[in-house]
Order: sequence, then structure tokens, then C-alpha cells
Amino acid sequence: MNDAGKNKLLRNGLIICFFFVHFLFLIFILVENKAPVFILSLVGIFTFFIFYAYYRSPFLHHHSMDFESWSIVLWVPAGALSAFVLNQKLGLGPILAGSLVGFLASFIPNINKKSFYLSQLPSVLYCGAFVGMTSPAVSNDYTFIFLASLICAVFLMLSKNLLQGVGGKLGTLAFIGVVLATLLYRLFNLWI
Amino acid sequence: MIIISFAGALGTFYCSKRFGWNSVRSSAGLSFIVALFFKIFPTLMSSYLTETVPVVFIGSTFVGMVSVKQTSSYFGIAFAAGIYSVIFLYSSQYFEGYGGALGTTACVSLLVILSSPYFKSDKKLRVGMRKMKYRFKRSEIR
Repeated sequence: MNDAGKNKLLRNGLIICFFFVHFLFLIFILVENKAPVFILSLVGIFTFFIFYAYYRSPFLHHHSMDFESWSIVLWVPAGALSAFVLNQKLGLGPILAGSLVGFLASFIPNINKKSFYLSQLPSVLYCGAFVGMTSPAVSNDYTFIFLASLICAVFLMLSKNLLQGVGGKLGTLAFIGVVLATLLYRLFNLWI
Repeated sequence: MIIISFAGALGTFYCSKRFGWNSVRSSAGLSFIVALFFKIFPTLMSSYLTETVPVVFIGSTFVGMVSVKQTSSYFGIAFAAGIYSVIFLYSSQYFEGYGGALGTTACVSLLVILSSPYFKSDKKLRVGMRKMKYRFKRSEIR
């Protein structure tokens, strides 16, 4: 398989992965069955619309496959660990910790307004901050947050041209990181 | 909760468009103000609202982080914020406390409105409404 074929396969695989995460998120509401029937039917309709958006919308993804630079995505763990410390170790809570990291990160491009590299950092650090917003009930471990942020960084690197300009993309990436890290931890605990 | 979602999403989108802030500053800045307010005045409202309002607000700001290339319709964003609040209220307890769950909720609600091309701008939305009215009238005549 040539490079173009590999990139197309990777792109389609990532789109399916994003869809699967969103689908799973909605399906769990239906499975839990705690909402009234009216809401459950609405959720069912939303699921159909999401499938349609992924399948048909020409604006969601670029047609070409491009990768984010590793030197940029490496800042994801920095955002995650700083938000985690503020959230759990200093007791600020997830919202104040995540928003503080994002707010401070948004001023980084002001250091040098001509720098493309610095202009990319706020969203990457904010993405990491979402991982750091994880509650102590899920994990209070530095290694867990670091692992989740690394997984998130890999997905961020690969999904540069996907869901461009859609709010919540960074949150979805953080969610994928935390869910996969939880799965790995559980598997590791079973193995031990 | 629906009103808070509207405020978060529309406020973030307005700040990005009006003041030229990057989407991260609009979302994080507004959320920081709201979270700080409830941290300083924890007894101003009931404990439920003090805990829930900042969470709903930050999640709704993610809806407002949408790029104008995807949609520039305030109505579309308000509609997405409404969907966000519905999904938030009934989201699975299994994912409670997972980092990024609010962003995922916001993304899902935005994708619902982005599935229709009429939500791309207010102008397209007006065209879509006119088309629907026309079809409705035609079906009544038949």
C-alpha cells in the first residue's frame, strides 16, 4: 500500500473512532434508561443526526491528511499535569483549574505575535487541561494523567484535519485519552 | 440550566467575534469568571446550583468555540446549547468525572446542528424556513 492509501485508511479509521466515541456517549444514555421516554427518543434522533453529519457533511473534515507537529502536541501533558495539580492537589476544583490553565495559555501568543508555534499552544494546553480536570473518583494518580495526556496527544497529532473548527473536539480527544487510559489501567490490574 | 447553556455558548461566540479573542480565551476567560464567582460566594445560591452552574457553563462555552467557518448562526448555536443542556442533564453516570466528557457532550450537540446545511448561517436558516413554509402550504393546498 502506498502513502496515500495508508493516509486514507488512517483518516477513515480516525473518523470511525470519533463517531464511535460520540455514538457510545449517546448509547449509554439509552442503555441506562433513566431519562423519560421523550428524552430517550430525542437521544435516538440525535444519534441519527450525528451519523448523518459524519457521513454527509462536507465541511467537517479536510479531504487531505495532515499531521500536527510533535513539538506542539508535547505540550498536552504540560497542560494536563498543571490542571491536575491545581484541581486535585491544590483543591481548586476541575472548572477553576481547567479554565485558569486555558485562560493563562491564551496569553502565550502575546509573547511573540509573529510566531506560528506560540499561536498553536493555547488550544493544545487547553486540551491537556481537560485531561487534568478528571475527578479523583476516576484517578488521583500522576502516572494516569500523564498516560491519558500522551494518548490524547497522539490523537491530537493524527486528527489535525478532522472536525476542524467544531467546538468540543479538544474535549473529545481528552475523553478518548482518559477512557483508553482507564481501560489500560483496568487491564493491567487484571493481569497483575 | 438551559438559560446558563445559552449564556455560555452565545457569550463565548460573541466574545470571539466582537472582541477578536481566540476561542480558548473566550471559553476559559468566561468560565474562569463564573467559577471564581461561585468559589468566592459559595453560599449565595443553593449547593446544587453552586456545584452545577460552573460545570454547565464551561461545557456550554465549548459549544460557543465553534468556528465561523462551520456556523455563524446565533440561532444555530443557541439550538446546539439547548441540545447540550438536554444531553448534560441525562448523560450517563458511568462517565461522570471523566476529563473531556463535557467537551464530548458539546461536540455531539454541535454535530447535530451541523448535520443540516441550513444552520451554517442565519441567511441560510431563513431560506430553509421559507422552503419549509412553502412545502407546508403546498401540502395544505393538495
